[in-house]
Amino acid sequence: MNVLEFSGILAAVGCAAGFLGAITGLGGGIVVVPVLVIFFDIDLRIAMGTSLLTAIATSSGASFTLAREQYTNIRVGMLLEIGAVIGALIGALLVQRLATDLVSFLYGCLLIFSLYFSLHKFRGRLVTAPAHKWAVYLGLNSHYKTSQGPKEYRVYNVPWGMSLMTVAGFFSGLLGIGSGLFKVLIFDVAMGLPYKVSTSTSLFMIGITTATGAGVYYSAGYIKPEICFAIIPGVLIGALCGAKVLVKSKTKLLKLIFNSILIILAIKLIYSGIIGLI
Amino acid sequence: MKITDRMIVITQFIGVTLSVVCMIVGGSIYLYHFAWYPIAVDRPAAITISKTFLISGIWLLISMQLVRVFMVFCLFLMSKEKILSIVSFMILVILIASLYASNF
Repeated sequence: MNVLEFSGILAAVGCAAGFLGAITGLGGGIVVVPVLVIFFDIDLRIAMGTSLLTAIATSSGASFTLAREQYTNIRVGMLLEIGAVIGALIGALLVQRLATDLVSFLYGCLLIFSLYFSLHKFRGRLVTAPAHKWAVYLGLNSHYKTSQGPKEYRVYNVPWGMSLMTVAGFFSGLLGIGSGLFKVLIFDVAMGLPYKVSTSTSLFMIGITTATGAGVYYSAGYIKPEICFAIIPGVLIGALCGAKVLVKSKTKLLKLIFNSILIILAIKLIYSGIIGLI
Repeated sequence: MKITDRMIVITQFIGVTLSVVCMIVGGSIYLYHFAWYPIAVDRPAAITISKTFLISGIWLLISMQLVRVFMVFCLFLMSKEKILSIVSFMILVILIASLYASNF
C-alpha cells in the first residue's frame, strides 16, 4: 500500500468513524481508536493522540451551534473545568508510564461502559430542593429556552460534581478521549442540569480538557501529523453527515448493528490487553 | 446572540477553518511528493514544508482553546466575577504551562 492509498483509506475510515460516532452518540474519536489499532496496526497511544485532536476539532466546530442555541452554562462549565484540566494533565502524564496492554484493556472497558450508558436516555431530575449554596453564591442557576418560554433550573451537588469532573478529566488524558459522555452523566445525574444544557456545556468543555492533554501527547510523540491530516477532516465530515441522518431517519437498526460492531472491537481490545498482561 | 458569544464563535470558526486549510495544504504537499512525484529530487525539503503546515494546523486547533478560555476570562473580569475570573485564569495558566512544557 503506498502513501496515497493509505491516506485515502485513513480519510475514509475517519469519515466512517465520525458517522458511526454521531449515530451511536459516542463521538468520532472513541470509535477511531479501536479501528486504527485493530485494522491498521497503529500504536494505541498514537491512535489516542489522534482521537484527542479529533475531539478538539469537533468541540470547536460545534461552537457555532452551541452559541446559537444558547443552552451552554459557561459559569458551570468553567467552574468544573478546573478539575477537568488538572485531571487531564495527570492522566496524560501517567499514560507514558503505563504498559500499552493495560491501556488497551482500560480502553476496551471504557468502550463497553460508554456503550451501556449511551443506550440509556437520562432525563434531568425534577428536583424541587433548594440549590447548593455554591450555586447560589456563584450564580450558577440559570434558565433555558423551551417552546413554552424560558424554563429555570437549579444546580445541585457542586463539590461532588467538581470531584467527578476531575475523574472524567483524568480518563480524558489517560485514554485520549473527550469524555463527553462522562461529563453529560455528571451534569445530568449528579448535578441535576437539564439534558440539553448538559450536552451543550459538555461540548463546550471538551475542547479545553483535551487541549491540556494534547500538549503532553505531542511532546511524547503520540501525535503524528501525517495521520491527523487524513483522519480529522474525515471525522468532521462523517460527524456532520451522521448528525443529519440521525435527525431525518429512524436509526434503531443502524444503532443495533453499529453497537454490536463496537462491542466486538471492545472485546478484542480487552482480550489483547489481558493476553499482553499475562 | 450576545456580542461575547459572537466573538467566541467568530474566533473558533476562523481557527478551525485556518487549521483545516493548513492541514489540507500540508497534506497535499506530503501526498504529492510521496505518491505522485516520480523522482524524489527534493523530498526532505518537501517533507519539512508539509510538516510545518501540518504542525501549524494542529497548533492552531489547540491554541484556539486558549483563546476561548481567555475570552471567557475577560468576560468574567468585565462583569467583576472575582471567583470565576480566578478560576478561568487558573485554567489559562494550566493550559499555557502544559503547552509550554510540551515545546509546541
